[in-house]
Amino acid sequence: MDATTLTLAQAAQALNAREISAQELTRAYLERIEALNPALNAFITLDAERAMEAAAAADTRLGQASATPLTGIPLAIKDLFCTQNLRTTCGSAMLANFLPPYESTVTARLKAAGAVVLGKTNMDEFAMGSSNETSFFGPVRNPWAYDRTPGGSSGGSATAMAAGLCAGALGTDTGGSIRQPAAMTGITGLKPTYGRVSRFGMIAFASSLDQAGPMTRTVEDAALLLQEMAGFDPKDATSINEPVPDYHAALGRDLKGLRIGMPAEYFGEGLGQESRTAIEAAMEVYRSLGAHIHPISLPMTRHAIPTYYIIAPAEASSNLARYDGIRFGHRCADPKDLKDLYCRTRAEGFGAEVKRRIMLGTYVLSSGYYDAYYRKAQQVRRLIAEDFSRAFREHDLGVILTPTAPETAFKLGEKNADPVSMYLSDIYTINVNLAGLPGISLPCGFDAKGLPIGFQLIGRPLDEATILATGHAYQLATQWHKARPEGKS
Amino acid sequence: MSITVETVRHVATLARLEISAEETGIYTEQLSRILGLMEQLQSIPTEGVAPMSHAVAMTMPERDDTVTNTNQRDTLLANAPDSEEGCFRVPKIIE
Repeated sequence: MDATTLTLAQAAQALNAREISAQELTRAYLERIEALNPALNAFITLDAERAMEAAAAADTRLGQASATPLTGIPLAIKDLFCTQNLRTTCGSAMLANFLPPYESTVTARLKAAGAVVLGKTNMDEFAMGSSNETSFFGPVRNPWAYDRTPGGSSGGSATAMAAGLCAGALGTDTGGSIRQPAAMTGITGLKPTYGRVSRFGMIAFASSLDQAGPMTRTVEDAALLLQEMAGFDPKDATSINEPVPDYHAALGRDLKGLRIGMPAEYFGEGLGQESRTAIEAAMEVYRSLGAHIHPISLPMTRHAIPTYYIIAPAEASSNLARYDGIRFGHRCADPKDLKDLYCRTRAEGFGAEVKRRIMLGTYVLSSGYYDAYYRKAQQVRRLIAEDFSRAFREHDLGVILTPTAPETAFKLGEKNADPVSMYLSDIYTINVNLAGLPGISLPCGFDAKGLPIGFQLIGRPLDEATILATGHAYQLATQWHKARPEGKS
Repeated sequence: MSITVETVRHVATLARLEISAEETGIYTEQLSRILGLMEQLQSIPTEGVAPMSHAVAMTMPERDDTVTNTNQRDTLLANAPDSEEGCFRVPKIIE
């Protein structure tokens, strides 16, 4: 048995039945990482020694009452979650040597459940990017085609998951950074409702949009990870204090009578023909499972990109003010005074895309422009959110089904020169962040080049259970999530 | 909407970013294009729409004012680029 081909749920079962030990499983992943990561560049930092220690502890715990479905499960963590005494870079030269003095709530919960952290995955710098090319540590390659991007910003986690370098991975999603790379690498990626998962210890990009979520082989695996990640955290002032349902138990729901909304605005000109065909086939699967497809309209859709690229950079310019070269992170050499220290430290520590967004955010917040840009964008944001709530209410929908991305994985370097064309690759995911809703991407086919295509299910606030159940039913009826990029290059 | 080289220099100062002459040119062009994309929002009627700063309507939770942090001075200073005698070291700021 090649243990690295198991789903997370299967691995949990094998560990529980003692068919494999946590140490054997962890070692198998570490060996696969050693063989494949030099070409893929999915990990920035590996933590093999501590991973083996955690696996040994898991082996002791397995079979005891305290064991959980995650005990002994090897995970890859996006390098945006602070991990105590394990280097956390956020893909930036600014934090190339940063050793967090504390642990993020999400990773603390997963470790407490017995999960094994293999290492920290590559990402666009400060999560700003849609192709992983803005990372200080070099681009990640897509395991389905090495000359293509895995998407971004959680591209390292996506590639690690797709290439079988971990049993599950963590990403974060501010405008699509879990779902878009999941679609481009043929895996499942869930962005929970804003506030469902604690942001404590996540390095902030745009605080009103950032949310952590699982990236996995299957929807069932995503449910198992979310179960441990979700829940109220007093350390995060925006954490929602509501009970966490049993997501795994919800997976068995029957889809008969489920009402699925299909927004016309998401199936317009920008969507590639092959993606359209694959997503229409997915709708047929849902019809055959007894669900009803309802055409709906979300008229504010086209305003999401400009709205997002005002709000997210504005919040980022404020959040990234903390990188001043004084308390932690990079500092320039021989500053002549304090202002010189700030200006050169930040010029050296940040890459081009991060600087561009800081400039943009500073501009839209600056005196004289605040009302025209930032306030206007916040008003349009409410209209976008109301679009969704109206559609759910008026059509009594359980979920909304859309494409995840306009096209399949693009070539490294293809969109680098033009920030606007890069920004447009998040056109189907950004709305969901602005409205704070849960969204999941799952694979539904391949284009003629053999590149994965994904579709997205959007749910009501805090109703992860319904999108998980809807996604799980699809994966029971189809095989796309089982395809692996073996032998591709 | 196009912005000027002077505006870009001013914004860079506000953001405490040193930018080269070449970068100033690039940012002037790129920011103008990105801001052009944002112009479409001006046509949307938003009178009376309350700005939405967060996805979840909630009030700031309160907690008891108790000390939860222990003294971690040395741990925190360990990440500082320069420190001395338990303090962050910075260039002289008073002449």
